[in-house]
Amino acid sequence: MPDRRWAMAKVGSFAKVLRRVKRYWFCYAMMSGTFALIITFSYYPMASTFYHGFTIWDGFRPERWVGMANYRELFSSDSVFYRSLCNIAALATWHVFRAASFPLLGAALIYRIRSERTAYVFRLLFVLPIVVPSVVSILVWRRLYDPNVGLFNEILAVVGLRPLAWLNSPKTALASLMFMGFPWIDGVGLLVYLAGLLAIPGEIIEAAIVDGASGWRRFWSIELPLVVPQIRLIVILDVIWSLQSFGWQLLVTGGGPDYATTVPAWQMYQAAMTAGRFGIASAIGTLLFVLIFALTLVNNATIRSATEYQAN
Amino acid sequence: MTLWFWKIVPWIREETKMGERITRRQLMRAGAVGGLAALLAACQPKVVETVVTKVVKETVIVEGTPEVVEKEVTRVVTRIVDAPTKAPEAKKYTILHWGRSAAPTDPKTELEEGQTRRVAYQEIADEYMELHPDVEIEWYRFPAGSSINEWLLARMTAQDCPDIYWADTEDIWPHINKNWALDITAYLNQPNPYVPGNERWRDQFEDVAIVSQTGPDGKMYGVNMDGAGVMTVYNKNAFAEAGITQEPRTWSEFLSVWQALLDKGYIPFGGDLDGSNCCYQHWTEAHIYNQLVWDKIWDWDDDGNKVIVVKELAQHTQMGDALDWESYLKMMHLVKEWTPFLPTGYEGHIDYRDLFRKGKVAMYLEGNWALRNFKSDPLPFEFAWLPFPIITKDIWPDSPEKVVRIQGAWGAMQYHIPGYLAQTDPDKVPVIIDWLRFSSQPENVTALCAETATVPLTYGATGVPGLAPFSQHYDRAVPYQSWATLSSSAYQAEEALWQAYLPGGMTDAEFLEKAQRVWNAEVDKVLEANPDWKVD
Amino acid sequence: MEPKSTIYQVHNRKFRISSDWTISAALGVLGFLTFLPLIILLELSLKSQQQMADAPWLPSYPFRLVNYAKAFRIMGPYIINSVVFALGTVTISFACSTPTAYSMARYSFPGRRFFYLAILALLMIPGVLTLITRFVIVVNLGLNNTNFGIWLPLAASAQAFQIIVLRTSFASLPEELFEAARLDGASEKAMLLNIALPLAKPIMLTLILLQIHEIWNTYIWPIMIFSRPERYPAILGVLSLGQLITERDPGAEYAGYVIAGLPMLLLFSLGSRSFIRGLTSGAVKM
Repeated sequence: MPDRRWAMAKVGSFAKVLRRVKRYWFCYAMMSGTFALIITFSYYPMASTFYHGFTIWDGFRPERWVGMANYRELFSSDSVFYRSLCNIAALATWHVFRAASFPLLGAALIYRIRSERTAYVFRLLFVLPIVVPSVVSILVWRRLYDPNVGLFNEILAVVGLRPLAWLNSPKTALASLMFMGFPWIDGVGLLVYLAGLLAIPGEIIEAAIVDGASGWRRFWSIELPLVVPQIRLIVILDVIWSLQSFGWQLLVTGGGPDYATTVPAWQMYQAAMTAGRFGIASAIGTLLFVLIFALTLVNNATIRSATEYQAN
Repeated sequence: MTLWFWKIVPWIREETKMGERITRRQLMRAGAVGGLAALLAACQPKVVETVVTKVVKETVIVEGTPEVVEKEVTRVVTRIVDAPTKAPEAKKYTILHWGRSAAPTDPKTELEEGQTRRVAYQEIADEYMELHPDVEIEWYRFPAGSSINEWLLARMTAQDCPDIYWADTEDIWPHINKNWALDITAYLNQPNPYVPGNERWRDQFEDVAIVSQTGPDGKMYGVNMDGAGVMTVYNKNAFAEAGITQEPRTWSEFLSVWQALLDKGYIPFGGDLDGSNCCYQHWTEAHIYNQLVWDKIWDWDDDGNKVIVVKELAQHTQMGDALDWESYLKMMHLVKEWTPFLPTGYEGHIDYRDLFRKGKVAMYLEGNWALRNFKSDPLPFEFAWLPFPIITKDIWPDSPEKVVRIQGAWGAMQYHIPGYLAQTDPDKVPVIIDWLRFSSQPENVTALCAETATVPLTYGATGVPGLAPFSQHYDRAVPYQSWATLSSSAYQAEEALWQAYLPGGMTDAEFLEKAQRVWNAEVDKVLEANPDWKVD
Repeated sequence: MEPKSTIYQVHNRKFRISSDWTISAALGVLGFLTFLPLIILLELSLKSQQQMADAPWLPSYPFRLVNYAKAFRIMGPYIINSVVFALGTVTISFACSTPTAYSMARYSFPGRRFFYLAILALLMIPGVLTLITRFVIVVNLGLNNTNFGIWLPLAASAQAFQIIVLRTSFASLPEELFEAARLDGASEKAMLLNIALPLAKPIMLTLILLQIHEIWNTYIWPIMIFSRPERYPAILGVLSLGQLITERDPGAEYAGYVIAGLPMLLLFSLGSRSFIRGLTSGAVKM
C-alpha cells in the first residue's frame, strides 16, 4: 500500500543518511575545533545579544524584560538613530565605491606595465603602507585636519582663503571623514584585483589588441567583467567591515559635532560602555546584523559575473 | 656565549659555501637572530640603584596669615631601583592603589630636563609599610588610551579592579547602582587612629568633601581628601601687547578685552565643545547658569546640602520646575556672543592648552591642578588668574552681580573601594581603610597637595603658594554644574545641542523645544535606572 | 600558473600600447600619496618638541635619534606581548580552520551545505555586537588576564574568512592526486597533511600574514581582557609611551609607532613574494 511504501522509503533514506554520516565521521571530527570556538565565542554571544535587545540591563543587576521598548525608542521621532542610519548609508556607499574602484585602477595600471621589475616595485610600494598601524594614519590625518595648526588650513591661508573647520564642524565633518585615506588604494585590494587580471587568458587580450582595441576599451569590455568575482568579494567584505567599524569615531570625532559622524556601531558602543545601557546596545546590534545580512543578499543577487552573462 | 656564536654563524652562512650571493633565507635567519638579540637586550632589566637626596627649600603658607615661609628640607629626589638586593618577605596583603595624579611617578619614566618626579606618595607608602610589614602598597598605572568608564566597566565585570580607584563625584550614583563602590559609612564614623584627638574619621574633611561622596541614599561611598577650583588663566604678555592695563571683571569688560586681543591677532579665548577635552562647556554653563538662577536654585535643593544632585533634578523635572528654560536660553545667547572669540573649529576638539603654551591663545578656563604642569614644565611667559565674568544687571535684570566659582570636590584623591570586595575578600577591606586613614593625615595631605597642586579639603592641611588666587574671595561655589549631573549620556546630548545651536543652525524656538524634549528623555532614562525616584 | 610573462611579452613584443612612462608617472603620484602618511610618520618621529612647534610639517635637522632610543627601551616588552598574541592565535586558528575547510572542500557529507552557510553567516555578525557578551563569557570561563583570553576569541573571529578562502583553494586541487594517493592506501589524515597542505602553502602564508596584521592592530579587546598595562600589545604600548615620556615629547611617541610597525615591516618584506603569490593564485574570490 502507498502509505507503507512511502514510510519504508523514508526510513530507507534516513538509514542511508545515517550510513553516510558513519562513513564520513572524521569530517565532523575535523570540524569540531572550529565549531567549538564559534559556538562559544560567536553564536552564543549573538543569541544572548538578541535576547537582551528586549530587556533593560546594565550589565550588573538582573535584567528586566520590556519587549519592544528598546526598538520603539530607537525609532522614535527624536532618536539619533535615523541620523546615524543616514550617515552609515553615505559612508558605506562611499567605502564600497572606493574599494571597488581605486585599487582596481591601480591594479589595471600595474597590469599594463611592460617591465616586470617596475611592476614589482610599484606592487611593493602600494603594499608596504599596510604595515603602518591603522591608528597612525588616523592620527596623522587628524593633525592634517587641525583647524588651527593643520596643514590643510595652512595651505588655505597661503592661498588666501578662510580656514575651514574640517572635522570640527557639523557641516564638513562627514565629508572630511570620507576624504581621509586619500588616495584610497588599499594594498590587499590591489593585489586581489591584480590576481584577477593576471588570471585572464593571454589570448583574449592578444586578440583584442590585434583588433585594435584601445586600452580603455579593453578595460571596460574584457578586464572589468572578468574581475567581477574579485570585486564581489571585496565589496562584500567592505560592506560588512564599514557597517560595523567605529574606530574613527573612537579615536577622532567621538560621533562628530552634533552627531554628524555618528554611526550605529558607535551608538552601540557608547550605549554599552559609556551609558551602561546594554539593552538598547543589544537592540542596535541586532538591527545592524539584520542590515548586514540583507545587504549581503542584495550584493550577491545583483552583481553577476560576466561568465554568468555569457552562459545566458 | 661564544659557543652559541660559533653555532649560529654557520647556521646563517649555510648557503654561501661556494661564495654565492647572500640568499634571502640567510637574510631572514640573520634578521631573526638579530631581532631576537635586540629584543633580549631591550628587556634586560637595568640593575641600577640610585638614590639622590637634595636639600631643598620649600615654601609653605603659614595658615591664617598672608606670610610665606621658607623651610629647608632634605628630600629624596630620584630613586631608581630595579634589582632588589634581598628577596622580599612574603606579604600578606597587597593593596593595589590607583592614585590618579597623586600617585608617584613611575620609576621607568624618563624625564626631560627641568622636570621633577613625584615622590610624596611613595614616601608615605614606605612609612606605612615599615609600620605594617605585612602590607605591600603597589601603584596601579592606568593604561593610556583607555577611557575611565570603559576601563571600569571591564574591571568590575572581571572583578579585578585595583583595590582603591578614583572616580569623580558625578559618577558616584551610577556606580553605586551597580555596586561598584563600597559603602564605607561605618568606617567613616570610626575614629582615625593616626590623627590624635580625632573622634570620627569624617570630621577630618570639609563639608563639601563629605557631600561629594554621599549618595542620594545618605550613605557614603568614598573619601575625598582634596578638591579643585576653576578660574581663567591668562597670558600676561598678551594682555600687555594688546594694551590691556586693567583686569576685566564684568561680562562687557571681558568682551572688550577679547576684542582687543582679537585685533592683535590672538585667539582671545581657548575653548571647545568636546566633552572629553575638559571642560569648557561644562564649566561655562556652571558659571553662567548659576548667576542667572541665583536664588531659584535653592528650590531644588531638597536635602539642603548646598549641592544639586541627580535625584533632585530628576524629581523636580517631574514636578515641573526644572530646568529654568528662560535662563537657559539667555545663557545660550551669552555663549553665542562669546563664540567669535573662540578658536576656529570650536565645535569639535581643539588642543587649546597646547595653543596657550605656544602663545596663540590668550586665556582659557583651567583648574588649579594645572599649576603642577606649569611648575614642572614652565610656560614661556608670565601668567595670572582671573575670576569668571560677572553678569551685570543691564544684561540680566535679576542678576545678583556676584562672583561665582567652581570650587569643590573634584580632586585627585577621590578614592573608592570596589563593591565586590565585600563578598570576595572582606578581610582586606579594613586593611585598605587603614591605609587610607594613614594617607589622610594632614601632613601627608599637605605633601601630596604640594605635588598635585590641588586644594586640600582636609582640615590642617595646607596648599601650595601658587594657589593664592584661588583663595581670593568669591560669593558662592556653584551648586549646579550642567547636564552632566544627570548622566553622561545627558552630557553628550547637551553637547550636541550646543554644537547645533551655536554656529547658527537653529532658531531660539527650535532650540528650546528640542532642548526640553531631550532633557525630559534623559530624565526618563535616569528614572528607568532608579524607578523609586518616580514622583506621583 | 604563470601567465604573467605571457602578458608582458605580448605587450612588449610587437604591439603599440601607451608608454610605460605615463603609467609610471600616474602610479608614481598615487604611490607617493599612499606612502605619504608613512613618510610623515617617519619625519615626525625624528623631531624634538621644539622642532615640532617650529616646523610641524617639513623635516627638520638635526634628526633626534634619541627618540628612538627612548621608545625602544620602553617598547620591548610590549612587542613581545604582541608576538605572543600573534603566534598563539595563528596556531589555534589554523589548527581549527584548515581541517574544517578541507573536509568541506573534498567530502560531501550530510549537512555540509548547512554548516557552510552557518560559517558564512558568521561574517555578518558585527564584532561590536558580541563584544560585551563575549567578555562576560571569557570572565565566566576564567580566561580574563590570560593569554587564552586573547587567543581563543580572536581565533574564533578569524574562522569564517579563513575557511571560506581555504575551502576554495582546497576545492581547486585536482581530484586525481587524491585518487592516486587513495589507491596507494594513504589515510585521509595523511592526504591532508602531505598533499593538500603543501599545495595550499602560498594561500596559507597569505592568510597568516593577514591575520598577524589584524592581530597587531587590535586594541579594544586587549584593553578589556587585561587589567595590567604590562600585558598590553605593542599598539597600546605606544600610547603608554606618551604617558611615560610625558606629553612634552610627542616625537618619541611617533618613534614608538614606527618601532611597533617594524616587526610587521620585516614580516611583509620577507614574505612579500609568498603573500603576492598567494593572493594572485586566484583563490581569493567569491
